[in-house]
Amino acid sequence: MKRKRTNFLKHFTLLILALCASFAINWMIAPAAYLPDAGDYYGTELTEDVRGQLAHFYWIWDDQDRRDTAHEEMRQQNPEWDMISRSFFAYSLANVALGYPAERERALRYLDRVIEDTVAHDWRDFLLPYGAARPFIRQPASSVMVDGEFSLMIGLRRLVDDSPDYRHRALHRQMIERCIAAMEAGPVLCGECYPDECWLWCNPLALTSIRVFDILEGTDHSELIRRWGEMAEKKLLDPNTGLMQSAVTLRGEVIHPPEGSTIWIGAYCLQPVLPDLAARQYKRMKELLAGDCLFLSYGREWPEGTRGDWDIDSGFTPFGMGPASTGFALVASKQMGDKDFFRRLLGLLDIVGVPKYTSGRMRYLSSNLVGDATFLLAKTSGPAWDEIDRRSRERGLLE
Amino acid sequence: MRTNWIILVLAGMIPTCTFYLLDWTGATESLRYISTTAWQAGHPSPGELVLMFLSVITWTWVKGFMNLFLLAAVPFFIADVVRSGRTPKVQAAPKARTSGHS
Repeated sequence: MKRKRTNFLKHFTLLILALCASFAINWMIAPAAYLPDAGDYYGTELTEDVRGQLAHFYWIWDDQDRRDTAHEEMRQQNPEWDMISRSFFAYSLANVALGYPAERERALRYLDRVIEDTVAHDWRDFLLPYGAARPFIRQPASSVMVDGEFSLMIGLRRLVDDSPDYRHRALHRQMIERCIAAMEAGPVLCGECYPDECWLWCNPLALTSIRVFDILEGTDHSELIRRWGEMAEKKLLDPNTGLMQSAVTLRGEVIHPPEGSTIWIGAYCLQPVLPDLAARQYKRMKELLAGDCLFLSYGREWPEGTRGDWDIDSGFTPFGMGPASTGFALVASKQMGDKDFFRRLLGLLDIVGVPKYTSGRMRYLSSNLVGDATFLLAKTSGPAWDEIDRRSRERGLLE
Repeated sequence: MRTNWIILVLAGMIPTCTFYLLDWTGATESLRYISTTAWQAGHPSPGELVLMFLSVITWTWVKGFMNLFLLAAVPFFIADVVRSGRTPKVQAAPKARTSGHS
């Protein structure tokens, strides 16, 4: 009996030792063996997963029923997700068209399809119900969120191909004029996204959209962008962390403090217009909103040691890990050229997202349309912002 | 040694194969409920929740634990092969003596 027990203990100990050794070896080789090569996403060829994701979105947009079903599903959960899944897909297509000439025509075709379908909606369709609960302070009412996102869609389309008879030029101008008017009218140069609610995702995005318009139309709103940067440094940063607030009132009072589900995209959108501020914010976000687990990284919803309430933006945040923050950190890290962080986030996405290929189409099983569009934007990001930067410098809009 | 590597290989492969079986049957679609925003009245059902957890757990094997167990099995497998190679010489003599005692 004793011999049997000793024998069992010996086997058990050997098994545990073997597992420990295996764990150590796996850990050591993990970065090389399990993490994707970030360089592939900066290369001249589309990676297999990007091709698969594009094929999935094309498949959705090829069929009216599929498109309606997919976007209705988003709309039922959050109308903003319907909007963001459209706009991020459109921005991805602009990146693909500008960065991969062989894909240009097809990407442009789908980009036009997304724009046509999107601008047919009323702008209020994309607001959460509380957007209609009280009137916008600034009248006539408009949302910098919707105008900014859609004008950037059209602007990037024109950046890819700007024919003189492009049918949405007038609409583009109207949207940009509304963004400018709303931001100029705001005491802290922020326009309302919702009644008396100015988000620092949407306002930086609107600045980039204005810059694209300047490039295309020969106008110059550098002064507004410069003043916005100064205002942000003075009134839109959280004094404790130095991070951008997520949302403020028209007067600049804090509604939502820094949250990963907002400000990674804020920094991403500031990059082509206020690159120094964007770089400083990104560096600070890396310090306070990035977390590591083994060889993987994730985005925190709130800086370490603080926490807010879960909401539809933050999602459920186990151990401080924010799913939305992680997805948006992926976008920002790719654009900022932070290859190490980008590949560690991608590694996490590969595990948590559960990618599934069906007939060449790829989607993430644990995600949804807006998540998939975010990941696609992250992987393709670069060419559009580079083009804005190049043409801004050509025009003397950026030093 | 043989028992050890067989246990480790099975520990690595059974959950992995289970994931692919779940995937083949479409049960991994339940992973969409990882996002609580996908929760609607009546969905996920308890069955869908079970499938979701099963899919999550088995997926972690596909992405990592399988490698952990299979790599741990390697030294036992090598030892088993080496010992098997020696078996005829080592076992022949004792067997004869043992039967003599009994």
